[in-house]
Amino acid sequence: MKTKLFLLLTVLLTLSIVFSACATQGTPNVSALSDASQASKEESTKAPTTEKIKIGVSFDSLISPWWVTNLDVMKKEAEKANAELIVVMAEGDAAKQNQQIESLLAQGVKAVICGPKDSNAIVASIKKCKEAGVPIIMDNRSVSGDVLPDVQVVSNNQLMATNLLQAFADNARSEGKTYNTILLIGGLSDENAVLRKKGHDEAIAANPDVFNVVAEVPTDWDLDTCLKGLQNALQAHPDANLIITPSDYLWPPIRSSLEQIGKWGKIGEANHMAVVAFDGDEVGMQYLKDGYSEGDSAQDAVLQGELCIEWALKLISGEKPTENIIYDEGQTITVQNFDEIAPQIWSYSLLK
Amino acid sequence: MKYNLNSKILSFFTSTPIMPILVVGFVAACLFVPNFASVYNQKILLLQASDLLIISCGVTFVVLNGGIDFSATSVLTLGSVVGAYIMALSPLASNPIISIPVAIAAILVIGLLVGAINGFAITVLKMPSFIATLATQLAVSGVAVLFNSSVTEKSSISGLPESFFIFGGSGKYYLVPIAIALLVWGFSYWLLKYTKFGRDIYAIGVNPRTAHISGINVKKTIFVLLVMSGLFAGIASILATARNQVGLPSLGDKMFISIMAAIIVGGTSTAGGFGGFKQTLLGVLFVTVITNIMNLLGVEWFIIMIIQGTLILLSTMFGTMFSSIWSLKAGEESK
Repeated sequence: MKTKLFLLLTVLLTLSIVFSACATQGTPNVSALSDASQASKEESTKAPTTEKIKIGVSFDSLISPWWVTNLDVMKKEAEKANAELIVVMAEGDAAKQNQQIESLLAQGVKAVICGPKDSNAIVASIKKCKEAGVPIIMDNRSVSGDVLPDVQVVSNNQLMATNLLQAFADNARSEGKTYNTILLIGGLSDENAVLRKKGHDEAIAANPDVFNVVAEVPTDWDLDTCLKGLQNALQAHPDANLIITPSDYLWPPIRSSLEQIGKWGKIGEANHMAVVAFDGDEVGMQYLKDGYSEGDSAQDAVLQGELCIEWALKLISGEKPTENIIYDEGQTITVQNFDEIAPQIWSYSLLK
Repeated sequence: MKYNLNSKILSFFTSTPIMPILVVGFVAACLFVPNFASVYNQKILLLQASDLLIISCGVTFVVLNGGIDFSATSVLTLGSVVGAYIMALSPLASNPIISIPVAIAAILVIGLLVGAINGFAITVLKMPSFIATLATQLAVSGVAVLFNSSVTEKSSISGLPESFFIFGGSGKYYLVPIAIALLVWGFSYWLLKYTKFGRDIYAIGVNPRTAHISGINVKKTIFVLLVMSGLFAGIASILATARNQVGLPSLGDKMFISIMAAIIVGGTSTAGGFGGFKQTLLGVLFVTVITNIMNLLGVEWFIIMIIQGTLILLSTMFGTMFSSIWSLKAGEESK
């Protein structure tokens, strides 16, 4: 009896697969995905349609205000263009992100915008998008190698990191200061972190009279890892007087570590520890405004969000970019130029 | 006769409580969830279920035995980076005909070794499986990150040979991982249902002391099960690495909840002695289908987590409830 019931339900399950697959003509299949995408491109260029264009957005996570703003801008831009965004979050899991992009393709999205968790692992998804004829755009995190996405909208991370440290070094030199430096490092699976590290290293090597790196602390973009690593570094090097962070996201452990050793003070106060940051989100900008930080390199969450949607629509309509990478050159903000530059930064309106 | 029929239906729902829910959910999804029934989606659904089914089969053996194996996901991770290293960065990398079999062998050996360490810790050192496998999970995951950082500056290893991607179902080879998963499942089902070894597993799961008195070699059985769990995790590692086309030291980090969800929702008891591979198959399909539906419906990730957690809770509650009713009926019958 049990076996019969099991068999009956298994047959029902199988039949439902067969019938439903037959019944849903027009939904993408393995071999037809490319053709379907091509057909939809032609339709979208030939005749106006009231149906919204579906664009898939796959992010690692919304770990910082930068990503939240970036996504909000995309939603607004998509609405203006009568497009529908389908958003998925990998939550730090590169394998899950690949699965989610497969699901986006199954939903018939016409383009995918992706903030990859891992610059290597995402290549599998880029290949799948190419097989399906669906354009894919990297948002804020670039991919290098043989298989490239259709467009990459990224900050010029290396140059921005170098420019900020160079501006800091020039100012320090004019004041006759030298710095025992603790360098925080982001997740090495993230191309941004790698490039920012290169940029920091470049500026440090160019200014040996200003910077003396006493410790490098890997954080893997994890607040707890950063906190523990930084606490240990500060204990081991009590003479450290500068922290370089690759992201404003790491401010909470920086503040916590400095408070614990009584070095959370404003510029000019005896217990001040210099900090230079990256991102230009409202947290970093607020500390810069309040005098806890010497500088920040601001990448534009609004511009990059707008460019992603703009290029998704262009690629859907068949337009090709002349360059694979579209750079946001960013802005270097220091204590000295804050009043002049900060109002141009997307997060300025959010400051208290 | 009437009671006999009722009791058999009750017994069916007790042994595979998820089956009717899966059937109804599947049919409803085909009808109401856009793109769910497309051939492309069904293909990725089965591909996504393949490695989960294999690793869940290994852990099911241990759970049936009344234990737990946390380390299976770390085998997935270490196997992935070591295999990827052999195929992409080692001196063998230039020759895929040699590097691929060597990498596969290395991944399987890692699974066997971790399983053997677990088996030794549990059977010889008499550590609870909870502690022993948690410890190996931590250590092996750490080794994976250490190994990865010592062979590359990046946190993943790319540049694997194209022919290896067959194991991940690349292009026209999408049936390969599905077939491997079904073979592993079929072997596990046969082993449990039709061999003395399978009956021993149940007996130990119900009561290891009684099983020992009955002449079953409890230590040997537990050791073999843990080695098998490690081996199956190794096979899953091959499929998952090929599917993602990189060696990832974080590959298995988030997978354990899906494995346990599949086993528990399917109807296998975490207390041991009850359940099997029919349940695990249904549980894996259920977890994969639910996640797929949620993704297709654009449900936020945290809602998916809430739903998965709630389903585990409800299925465990209903499982316990059905078991109680069944025991009550059986008691009345015996009177």
